Amino acid sequence: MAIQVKGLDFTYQPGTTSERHALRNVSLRVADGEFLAIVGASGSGKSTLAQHLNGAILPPPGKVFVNGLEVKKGISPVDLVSNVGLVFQYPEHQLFAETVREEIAYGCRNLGFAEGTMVAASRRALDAVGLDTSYLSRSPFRLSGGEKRRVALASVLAMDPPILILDEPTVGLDRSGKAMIGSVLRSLHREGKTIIVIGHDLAELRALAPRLVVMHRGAVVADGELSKGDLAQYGISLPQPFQPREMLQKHFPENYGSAAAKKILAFLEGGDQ
Amino acid sequence: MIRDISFGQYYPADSPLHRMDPRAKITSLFLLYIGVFFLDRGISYGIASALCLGLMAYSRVPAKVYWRSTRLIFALILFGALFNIFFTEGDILWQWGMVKITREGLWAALFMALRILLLLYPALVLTFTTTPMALTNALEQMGRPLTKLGLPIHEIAMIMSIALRFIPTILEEAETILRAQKSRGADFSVRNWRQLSVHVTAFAVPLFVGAFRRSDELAMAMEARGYHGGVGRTTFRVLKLRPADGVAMAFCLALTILAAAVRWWI
Repeated sequence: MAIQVKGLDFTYQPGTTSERHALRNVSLRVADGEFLAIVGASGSGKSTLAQHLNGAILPPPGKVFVNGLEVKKGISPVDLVSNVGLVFQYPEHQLFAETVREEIAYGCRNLGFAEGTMVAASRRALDAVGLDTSYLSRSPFRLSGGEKRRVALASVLAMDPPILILDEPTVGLDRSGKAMIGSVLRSLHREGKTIIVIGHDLAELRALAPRLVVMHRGAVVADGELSKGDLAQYGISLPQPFQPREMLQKHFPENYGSAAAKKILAFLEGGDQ
Repeated sequence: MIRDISFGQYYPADSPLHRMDPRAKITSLFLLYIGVFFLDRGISYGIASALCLGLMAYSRVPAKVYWRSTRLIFALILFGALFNIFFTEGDILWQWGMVKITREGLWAALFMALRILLLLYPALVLTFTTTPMALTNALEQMGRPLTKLGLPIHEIAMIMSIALRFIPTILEEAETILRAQKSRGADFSVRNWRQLSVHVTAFAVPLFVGAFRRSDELAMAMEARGYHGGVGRTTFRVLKLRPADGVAMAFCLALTILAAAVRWWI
């Protein structure tokens, strides 16, 4: 059993004016090698849940087990981190090293990898995110937004955790960026990793992950391979996909055939970088 | 983490002091501070302490809150008091070998402690009853004449209010970065200072980079909304002096003059 969550409850800043009951008695089971998405609106508790899964926030109340190991106060950080890799939102905000090589090496060194293992792991990680080894000597601060995100992702992948949790991995990326992340995750899943993606875009995540866990106001309201019908039962409707062509035709008919419109459509529908 | 910086923080309540013009409060505090230095005898200290307690009660801020902020200074006061008690020359009241306590020592200790508290509590009254924004507004307006001397008063006030506004934001980001690096195995309990410095770098660099990023974005946002500096800039809340403010300042001035008179002519 990769992950087991029992009765998790969490309140931010209890007893103050900014008190927020983020998790209400949440329970969850994730088998080895599953690929699931935790979906919810902002404030539904999904990031809070994710931070419990790798010990960033510690129970009680409730219990969390990762690969059989109980997550609680006093647990060795190395044990925990070598089992679960958590990629935060906007991971590029954590970059700090002088070179990409050092950035990726940080996590590996913390886990006590031997130098040789680390080099191999770095190469594999860069390859997984679609960057070649010429990036190793470059400064992470001089990369483009998409490249930064990939380096940050690689720095967690290099630690080779069997369970990978990603909080909003596609936020701020354009269509091709989102597609790239999706294919990286699918191939990691094929390698046997347990993947948990957290997000708010129901349509995007349903296309990505077979199992959906829907959260609302701190509680799990739906869990499983949810069809549109299932979701409708819970009062959740998929938003209409953004159809730029139809929108232009309907609202700006007189500009629809212009050169500018063609360029815009080419960008929105093609999404090249 | 370091969330509880409640020392001197604004405490919302409904009191005449909360409603007073912040400029009048700052001026009054300044006058009272001068007055405190004229106190030189028991009866003066006694009256001043009574007035101070009255002021604190007038602020409708609970005593518990004042006490919490005193705890930090307590060690300093205690140390100073002990020093005065044991090392002041005068009529010996009690002696044990080399260690002696004198009457003068006791008075000196008491006066010293009271002086510190008489400086601390009115200042707390000010910060408890005045929001940071009101304070910076007041200081900016009071400092306006200094712009004629070329001093960048508006810019300084803007720096202060932006810094205050961003404290919670940066604290939150610091916590996020800390958690993120811990998720990559950062361990801040290591003994080896070389290892520790790598972890601290992993925490500090992103924090600073993030701060610069935010300041860039803020500057653009401000300009996009028409900010062009302090020249001709008006404020949303216009500070108006009311009769009550005048009375308060006059009262403080009177007290100070009285203290001076008592000291030199009685």
